[in-house]
Amino acid sequence: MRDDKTILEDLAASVISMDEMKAVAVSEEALERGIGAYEAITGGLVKGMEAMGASFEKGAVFVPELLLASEALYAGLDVLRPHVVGRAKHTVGKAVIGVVEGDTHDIGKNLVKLMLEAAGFEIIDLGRDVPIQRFLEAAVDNGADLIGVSTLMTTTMRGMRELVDLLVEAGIRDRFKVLVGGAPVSRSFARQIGADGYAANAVAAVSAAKELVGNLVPGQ
Amino acid sequence: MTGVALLDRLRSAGHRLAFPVGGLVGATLTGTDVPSNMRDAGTKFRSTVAFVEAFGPDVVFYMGDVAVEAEALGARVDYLDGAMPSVVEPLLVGRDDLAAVRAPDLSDSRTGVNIECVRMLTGRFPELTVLAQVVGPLTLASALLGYEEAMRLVYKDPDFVHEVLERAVTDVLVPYATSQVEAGGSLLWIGEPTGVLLSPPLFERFCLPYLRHLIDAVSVPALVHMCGDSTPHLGLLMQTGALGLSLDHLVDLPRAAQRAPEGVLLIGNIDPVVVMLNGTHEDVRRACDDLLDAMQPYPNFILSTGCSTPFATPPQNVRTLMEAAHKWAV
Repeated sequence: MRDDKTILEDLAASVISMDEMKAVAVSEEALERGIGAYEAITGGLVKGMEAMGASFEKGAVFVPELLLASEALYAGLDVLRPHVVGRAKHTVGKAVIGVVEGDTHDIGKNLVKLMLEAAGFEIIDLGRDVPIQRFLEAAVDNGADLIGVSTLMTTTMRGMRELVDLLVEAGIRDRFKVLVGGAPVSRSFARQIGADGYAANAVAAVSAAKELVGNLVPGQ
Repeated sequence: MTGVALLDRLRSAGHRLAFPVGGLVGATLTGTDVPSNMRDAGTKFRSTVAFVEAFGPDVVFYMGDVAVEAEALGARVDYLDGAMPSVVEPLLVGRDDLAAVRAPDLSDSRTGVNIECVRMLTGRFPELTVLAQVVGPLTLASALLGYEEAMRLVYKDPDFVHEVLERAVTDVLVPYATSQVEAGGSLLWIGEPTGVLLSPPLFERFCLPYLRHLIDAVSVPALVHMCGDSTPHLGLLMQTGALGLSLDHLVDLPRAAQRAPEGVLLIGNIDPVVVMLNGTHEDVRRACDDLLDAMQPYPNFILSTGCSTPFATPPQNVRTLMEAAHKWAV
């Protein structure tokens, strides 16, 4: 019989080796062994995803590997999530994310989504080519803590400035943290437009998002 | 002037050569919008002429885009918000879709616009190198499969990806490049932005062989452009058979030059956003001079931007880049 620690390590390993079938099998084994579903997720699958994120940031793995690891992660989550009790409502924060109006490049945004979800955020994904007003509406309607905006083109960066201005105009700037990213975006641009944070890649987005929502009272 | 003649000029000019990547700034000079330039050869031609006359680049670079070949195959393309055309829906979901694809009639699509534009530019500037331009095989295959889906398929269905890559090169890219060459294009620019998303081992399987196939099949020398930090891919890029590599601002160009085989041109790599778009002309001059200084030991270098020069780049900044190079004695 394998012990709990080995099973958790194996869950992480299934994500790192991008093995969907293994993630499912070991998730089922974890449940059979009486390992709490929440623990199997955070102590097993998510640890694997964090390791992949670290490898991605170091340049040891690239976009395909991160995407395939996330498939293994989600396959395991499909098995485990229905069995999470009690802590089901616990999230680190709620984020509305999307690619700014006029732009359809969404691989980066999708990587941010999966890394934030793995880190415990609830994500409302608005997709791509998202009108600025829509970011605001979704943030308000969902009681979000954070608005994440991405673009790959210089011509659409102005949408990020417009969003911040719109929030100010609506008198709700203080209700949300604004996090921006994308190849042409920089920390100084983020500062210039009055955004709260900038992240250079999907992994950096997790620590930036955690830091930004950490300053908010839950449910604010 | 042929691609080879460009090399001769490189050696005999007595100063550095330069050209900014892309021709978008030409549209601001003629006061035309992107969609008009993309759809009409005459408009694109006039914007390119305005660019050449304003800035004197050492190659003629018409306004290209990454969607033109996919569109010729039937992919749905949109000009969101009057911006650059982009493929909004994958054309190929399964093998049946691939079976239904036919080699396109190049004159019947925006490929025809660009071929005509090359013809007009060669006529107007017989003494200059006019670039033929294609998207790279991996980027075309990704546009057809869905950019993110392609990144998954390299693991989940590699055979299918290889089939799409093969058809991309054979059915579209070689014929399209050849038509532009026949129209007078004397150097082939291959834009392969998605290459940087793959690990080097996957790049070696899914990008390198197809770049080589394309480059071998076309009768003029090629310049391969890859955006982003391509430092991990440099060794493989240097095996493509390309005459030159256009590299983005994140790459240490002098270090790349140290490892480049003799005869390989390095092109780049001023930051197109922080410096060209948002910098003052003094910022541009400083960045160019610093790079020109660092590249002094390397004869096979052309000053350029790291990636496409943004639409709203101040013309003075483009002028400054050109002057910096043309005033730099070698």
